[in-house]
Amino acid sequence: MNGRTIWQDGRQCAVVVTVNYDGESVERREWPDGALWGRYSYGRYGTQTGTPRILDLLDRLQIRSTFFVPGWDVERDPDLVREIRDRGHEIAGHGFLHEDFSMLSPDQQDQVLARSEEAFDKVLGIRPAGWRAPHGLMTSETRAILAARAYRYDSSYCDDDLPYVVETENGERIIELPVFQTASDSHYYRLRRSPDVVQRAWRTEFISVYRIGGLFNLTLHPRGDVGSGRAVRLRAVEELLRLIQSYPNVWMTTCGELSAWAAGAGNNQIETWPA
Amino acid sequence: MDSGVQSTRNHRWPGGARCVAMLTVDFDGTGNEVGQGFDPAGIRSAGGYSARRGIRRMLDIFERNDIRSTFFVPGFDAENHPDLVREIVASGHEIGAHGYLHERWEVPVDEEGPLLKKAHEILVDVTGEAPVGWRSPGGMKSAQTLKVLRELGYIFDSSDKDFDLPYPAIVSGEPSREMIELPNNTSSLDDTPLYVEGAATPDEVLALWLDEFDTIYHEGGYFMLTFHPRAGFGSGIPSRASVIERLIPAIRRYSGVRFMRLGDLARWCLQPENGFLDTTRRIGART
Repeated sequence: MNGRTIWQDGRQCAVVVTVNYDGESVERREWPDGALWGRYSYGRYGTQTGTPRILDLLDRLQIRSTFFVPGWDVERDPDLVREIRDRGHEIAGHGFLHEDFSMLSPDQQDQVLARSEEAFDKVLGIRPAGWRAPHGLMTSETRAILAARAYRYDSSYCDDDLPYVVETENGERIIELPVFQTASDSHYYRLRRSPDVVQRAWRTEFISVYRIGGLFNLTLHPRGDVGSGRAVRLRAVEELLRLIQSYPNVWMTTCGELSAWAAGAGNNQIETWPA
Repeated sequence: MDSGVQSTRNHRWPGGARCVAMLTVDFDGTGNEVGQGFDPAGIRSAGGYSARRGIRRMLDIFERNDIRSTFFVPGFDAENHPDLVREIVASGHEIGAHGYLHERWEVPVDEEGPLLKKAHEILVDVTGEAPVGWRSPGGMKSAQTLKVLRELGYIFDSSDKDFDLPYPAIVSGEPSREMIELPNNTSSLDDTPLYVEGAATPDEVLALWLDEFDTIYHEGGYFMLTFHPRAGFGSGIPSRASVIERLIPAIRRYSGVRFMRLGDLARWCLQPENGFLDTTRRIGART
């Protein structure tokens, strides 16, 4: 990139801190309400402990984040979801019951999105501006479906270093904010790696993205099993975020604001690809 | 801003302790394999290690370090090794119930009550004392599990993974004042997932648990560790038992740490003045 980046105001790198809420919906998808105990209570750890802890950390560091929340969890935890909003964060879509969208027909995908939007309307009075695929799984049609439903961005693909515009067959546009498993907590904790290892891995990821002037899209989960909600793991998050804040010319923002900028007419460095 | 974490900070531990540490042992002998329909032979014989070597190794470590703890014993293993179970009790430890054949599957509702009673009676017969606590063998419960256990006189369950502190167990849909939940996080404070899914070395596990302990010590002060005296997925063999051996003095370097049996901790938490019954959030109450 010859020392110049695509970012505004001489910024070297853009950072979004995202949280995949993944509460009890993850367990509820496979088990009835009465079974959400024991090994099926890690999602509830996230709502009772992990999310409040992450919110406190983001407050302390004055970072605004984007929370991707399944519609079922929005209805399950309306007070907590409104608290997330009231503390300055963006709330975006993430399926209804954390569905695997790769197994759904385009019509079914449309219906699940509609059901989730109902929850957002009821609890938050908004339409979500963005979406991330649960498990990262979706089909080639999904982004066109999102665009037709007036979503402004998706953050699920892992095929570029920078945001890009997707143009659908109908001429609709939606921004993609690429995201990588290497900058996610669950990728490591699923394999029971220690917070120390995760923190070192993230550090390498961030520094490498910073050097090339890319987008660093960090993904956290509040859950008690594969997430960062446990106190010892949140320390790893804090160390990474403080490292990021110590670097000059970092644009730390939300997915909504980043995608609005990327869609803006004044920005001619964002590339456009067909859906 | 109110958060679930801060709202439960008004609790206190026995004797003015800053942190309580529970090094709990799940016996998990050959019943684990038998229950799944396997012949516990060859590579499936690791459960036999518990009774032959692992349990006594844990008893030795606890004795050298003057620690009393809680051992969860499936009924099948108690039937097969009654003298060893009595030796655990004679060494000052507590026995908790842990299923009959370590049922890690969903037990049909009409079979659950009889199964809990069967395992309970075996432990009563073997030890001469009624257990007061239970841990789900596979981490599963039904809506009626704790109701049955409460009727049998149990005062704690140690199965849930949804909080960092004890809280009133949900019995028949309501927070109980007679039964306490002592959560155990089996994602990072249990040996099995680390050694199996993580293929971790003993040194890595020790470093992780010390890191967990350090954070918990400064946070809520409730350190609940679960390990198994088996070979295979457990900590019975010398290399892994040494993690427990090295962990204890490292924990003791912190001031105000109290090692406890779960029954004693449960009785403490059930006294309202100690702050565990009046959580401002309805912990785990939604079913």
